[in-house]
Formats: sequence, C-alpha cells, structure tokens
Amino acid sequence: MLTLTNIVKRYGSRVAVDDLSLAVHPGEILGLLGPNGAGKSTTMHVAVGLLRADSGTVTIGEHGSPTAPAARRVLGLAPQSLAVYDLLTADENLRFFGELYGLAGAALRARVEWALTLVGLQDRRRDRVQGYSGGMKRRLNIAAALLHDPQLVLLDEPTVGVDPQSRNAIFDSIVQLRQAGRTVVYSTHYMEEAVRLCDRVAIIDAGKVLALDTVDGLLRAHGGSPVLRARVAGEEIAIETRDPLTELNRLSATAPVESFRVDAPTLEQVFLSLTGRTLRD
Amino acid sequence: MSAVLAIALKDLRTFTRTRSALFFTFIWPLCVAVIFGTLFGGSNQPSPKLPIAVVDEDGSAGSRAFAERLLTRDSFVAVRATRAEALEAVRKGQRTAAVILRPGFGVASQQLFAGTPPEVQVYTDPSRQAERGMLEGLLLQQGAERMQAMFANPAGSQQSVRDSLSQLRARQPGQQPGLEAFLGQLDTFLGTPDARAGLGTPGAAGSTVAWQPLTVTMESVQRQRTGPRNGYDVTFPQAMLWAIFGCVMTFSTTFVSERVRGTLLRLQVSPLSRSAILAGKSLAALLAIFLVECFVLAVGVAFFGVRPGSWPLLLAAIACASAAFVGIILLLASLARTEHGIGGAGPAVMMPMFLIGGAMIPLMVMPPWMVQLSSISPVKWAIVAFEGAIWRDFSVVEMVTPCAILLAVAAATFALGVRRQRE
Ligand SMILES: Nc1ncnc2c1ncn2[C@@H]1O[C@H](COP(=O)(O)OP(=O)(O)OP(=O)(O)O)[C@@H](O)[C@H]1O
Ligand SMILES: [Mg+2]
Repeated sequence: MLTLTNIVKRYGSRVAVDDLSLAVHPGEILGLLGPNGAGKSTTMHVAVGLLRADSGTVTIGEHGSPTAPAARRVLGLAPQSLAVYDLLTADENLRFFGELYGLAGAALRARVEWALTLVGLQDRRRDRVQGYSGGMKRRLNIAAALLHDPQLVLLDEPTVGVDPQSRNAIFDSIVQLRQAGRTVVYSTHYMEEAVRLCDRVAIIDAGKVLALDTVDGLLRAHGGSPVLRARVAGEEIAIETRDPLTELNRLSATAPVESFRVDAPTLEQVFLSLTGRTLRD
Repeated sequence: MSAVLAIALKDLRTFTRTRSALFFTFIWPLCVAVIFGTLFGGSNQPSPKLPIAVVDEDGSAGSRAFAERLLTRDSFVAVRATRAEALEAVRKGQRTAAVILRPGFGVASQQLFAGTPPEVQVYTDPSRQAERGMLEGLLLQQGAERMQAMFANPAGSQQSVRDSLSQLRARQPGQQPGLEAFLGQLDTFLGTPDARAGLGTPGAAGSTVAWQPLTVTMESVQRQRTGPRNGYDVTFPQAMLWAIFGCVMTFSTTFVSERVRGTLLRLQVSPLSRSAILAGKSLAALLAIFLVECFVLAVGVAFFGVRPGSWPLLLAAIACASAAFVGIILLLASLARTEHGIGGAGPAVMMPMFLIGGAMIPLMVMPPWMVQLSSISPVKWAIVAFEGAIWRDFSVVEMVTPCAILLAVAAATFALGVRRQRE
C-alpha cells in the first residue's frame, strides 16, 4: 500500500530521515515507534508528498507518487500539529475538508455525520473550535483526515493530550478502520499504544528503521529474556532467565522465597537493546 | 472549481468572524471619511435642493413674477443671472441648471388654454438625467400653479380671461366655439361670490383642449472638469483605500496562518493543486476587497451626497484596484513567515505607500513634488481612478492610465507572490 525506499531527508546539515525503507501492507496498522526527533513526522510528510525527499522513492499502491491526484484521493493525514480552523465550527471544518475532495450534498452530510460520531463530537458540532478543549480539537483533527474515506490513513501522534476514555474511543475507531479494510500508519512514542493497536511496529531512531516486526517478533528478537525478581531471605534478587520456573525452584531450595514476580520483556527493552538508550530519554 | 470556491467561502466566513478585521475594514474607514470629510468642508446634510440660475430674458411683469416664484421655491437654491453667466455656471458645475425665461414669456402667460404657451429653456449637463426630470416636473408644476392662482385671485384673473377671450375672437373667430363659450362662462364665474370663496383647479379645461400652461425645452451644456462638490468627494475615495488596507492586513495574515497553524498541510495533501489553493485564497481576498469598496462607496452615496459621475468607470476602477491589492496581498504573504511578521511587515510596507499615495493627504492639496513622488504608489492610482469616476469626470481614455497601472501592479505582484509562495 505504501512503500518507502531508501528515503533520505535533510534539513540543512541535520539528517532527519536517514536511508529509511519501509513497506506497509494493505489492511494493516503499522506503528512508527520512536522518541522525539526520531523522524516519524518527517517520514510521514515524505510519505504523503508534503516534503520532497532528498533521495529515495515513495510509492502509494498502484498510484505511484503521492503527489499524483489519484494518490491524494486515497491518502488521509492527521498532522501532529492541530490543523483545523479555530473560527469555524466542527461542522463547518468537516464540510470544508470534504468539499476539498469533491464531496457535496447528501454524501457530504452523511460523511460529516459519520466522522463526528466516530470521534464523539456530535453534541459540540455547532460550536466554534476555538472553544474546544485540546483533546476535542485533536479528535476533530482525526475526523478531518477520515472524511473522504481514504484507503491509507496516516495518524501522527493522534492521542497526545486525549483523556483515557476518548483515547479508547479513538482506538476503537482505528480498529474499525482496519476491519473496513483500510491501511493505517500510526506514529507514537507510547509503547503501550503500539502494543495494543499495531499489527507491526517499526522502531525508529535518528531517522533509521532499527527493526520492523510484530510486537511478539520484536520482543523475541530484541527483548532479551524475562527477568525473575524475588525476595529471598530479605534480599532482592533479579535473574534474567528463559526458564523462570526452574530458577524459582532452585531459589526456593536454598532459602524461603518471600515474594517473586516475572517481568516479561517490553518494547522498552527492545529499544534499549537496539539503541543503548531508553525510549523516554 | 468547487473546491476553489470552498476555500474562498471558508476565508470569507473566517473574515466575518474576526472582529478586529471587521472594525478596520468597515468602521474605521468610515470614521476617517466622515471626520475628515466634515473638516474639509463637507456639508453635513447634502442639500436636496437643486442649485439653479434663473435668467429673465423677457423682463415683463409675468416673467418677473414667475422668476420670483422660482427664487423662493423650497426645491431650488436659485440665483438670478444673465444668460452667459448662467451657462458658464452650468458648464463649471456650479449650478445644475440654467432656467431661461424666453422673450414673450409675459405676453404668452396672459393667454389661457390657447395660443403659444410661455416658454422656458433649461440648460443642464446631459449626464444629470435625474435632476433633469425633477427640474422639468417642478417647472411644469409651477406653470400649472398659475392656473390655480387665477382662482385664488378671481378679481385679478377676470381681466386675463377677458383678454384671452378677446384675442381668441380676434384671431380665430368662431373656430373654437366651445372654448369661447367656456371662457365666457369662466369670465362670468370669476365675477361670482362662489369664485371668491375659492375653488379647485378647472378640471375640464386640460382634457378638452391640448394646451399646456408652459413649455419646457431641454438643452444640453457639457459640464467641464470641476473640483469636488464637497469634502466627502475626497474622503470617501480615501476611505475606500483604508478599507482595502484592512483587507490587505487580514487576508495576507490568512495566507500565513494557514502555514503557521498547519492547515496548509491539509490543503496540500488534498487533490487540489497549489495554484487552486492560491486561486481560492486570492478569490476570497478579491471578493472581500470588492465588497468593502462597494460598501464604503454605498455609505457615501446614501448618506453623504457622493454622486459618482460615471458608474461604469467607477466599477472598472474598483475592479482594477481590487486586483492590484490582491497581488499585493500575495506578495506580502510571501514575505513573512509568521502572523507576527505580517503584523510588522504589513504596516511597514503599506503605510508609506498609503501616506505618499494620497490616502491621508488628499492628492489635490499635495505640493507638486509630493504629487510626483506619489506616482510610485499604487494607492495614488487607485485614488485617481476612484476620483476620476466620482468627480473628476474622466473620459474612458483618461481612465485607461490609472487602470492600466493598477492592472500592471496586479500582474507583477501576483507573479512575484506566486513565485515566492512556491519556494
Ligand atoms: N522544519 C524543520 N526544519 C529543521 N529541522 C527540522 C524540521 N522539522 C524537523 N526537523 C528536525 O528533523 C528531525 C526529525 O524531526 P521529526 O519532527 O520528524 O521527529 P518526530 O519523530 O516526529 O518527533 P516528535 O515525536 O517530537 O514529533 C529532528 O531532529 C528535527 O529537529
Ligand atoms: Mg512528530
């Protein structure tokens, strides 16, 4: 659905995207997981044709370049910075963005209705956006990207500042999109979101894809072993092991085990082992 | 195309919701126009009275009475003059019309219902159709009043009825027996107490005989170029420019806001081409500028006695000025990176252009060196075009220069602005 091949994008001397290659399969939710400044937004902007890469190619399905009009119709982007008009109402914003794609009349009304329902803004639809909370604006920002029913949706950190309940609602709608056969690229620096939502996750740092696999695959390949943490005779012990049960048996034979738990590897560890840094640095 | 329109409507809608923008495009320019217009000697209530010059070429008692009546009518501001003076005043635009009572007026006005009616010649500028019609109506009305006066003063009128009767009998004996009989009866009637008690107009008279109490012949005098009629003629064109100033600030900011607020990304990932986006936003600016110009003008026309000499030329001037400032908006928008930048660069670029261009100091009172300098400002050409159509009485040929300059400014700034936006 979307293929990036050897993309390089520099801002002056700073390399934002460094020889990045990526293939997004139709119908999947692909996560771009990386810290601030990793190059997620830049990658997305190159992918939708907003930025021209210094080298490398972008292909949107059978449409080729993302700047081709046919390709633009199948693309939907929710930019990281809120891109809606403050002086217009939610209704007016969505109608306007629909009109850009040639929607009109009953079809437009139906899509606006659908999008408002999706992000739960029906009851505020006639209020001007300047009076919205940050989370409401962000929800509208997502709705605006989905209005023309794009095949490929790119959501750039869509849940920043959204409360847990709305976040769940947004996740549900993204899952709905996948069920409807849409392809989603989702950037985030929250591991939990990547784990919960994404079919595959690309770990990105310093403009490079360090690894790309399912969450399980990443954990298996880069997460290391589970850690057995136990309190034995008043002493905290942490043992990295592929077989925590045997280790626990061995410990309990030497002294009474007061408490224990097994920490399964996380994407945090994957990131740590790939970069030598933690994700939250 | 519909997407271009959608962008334009979106921008216009945003414009109507920005209170400060509305103030600076609608209210502020009008304040300027009214305050300075009054200072420059605008009459507070433009007089609905027609300024006319009355020429009595007859000098009889009848013509004197008619002229006297004209001079005291509420509808006119009338002065006595010679034919030459009156025509000159019309030519210079100081008087709307010269009303000339032709020789023989007094004798003719003695006759009733027959013979040549008294003749009035009216000289006006052919462009002043409305005033012409009004003047003719008022003169005919005054002619008819003579008939009413007859019944108000039966004793005095009896003599003129008798004169008419005897003239009629002498010149056309027996040819109009009905009229002879009527005048005879009228003579008798005017001697009765009934007539002294006062009656209305003689209804039957006009319908039986095709005779008018007065003939009015309309003549044309081409009005020469003149000064403005009042202060508002000068300040309203200026106010139209200040309204444009407001639009320039507002709409150049919308270009930058789209970029800063990120909504431009949305427009750019849509199937719209860059030119379509620019077209939509430019269309909004064009419509807004056009509308505010018309609004300011309409207020001037409706309440401050601004009377454009030529509407078609004024429309052309407004269109060309609108185009020029849309180009300037595009160029300005391409110069600034932030809304703050527009707030600084906008006035910095525009104020000098407005000050030397005559939006503050009227072109007509500028010292010669300043008039020369002002030619580098598009504001001057917009004002010249507006004034040309409003009171300078420009011909089509004269209007070509300012309009062509405005269109050239439009083309140059548009091209440059678009090129810089692309970068
Ligand atoms: N317009 C720009 N001009 C110069 N440098 C830029 C610009 N935009 C991004 N960069 C640089 O490119 C790099 C990647 O930025 P990008 O915004 O793609 O990161 P990100 O992964 O989206 O980060 P975040 O999680 O903070 O959104 C950063 O080093 C950033 O400083
Ligand atoms: Mg980002």
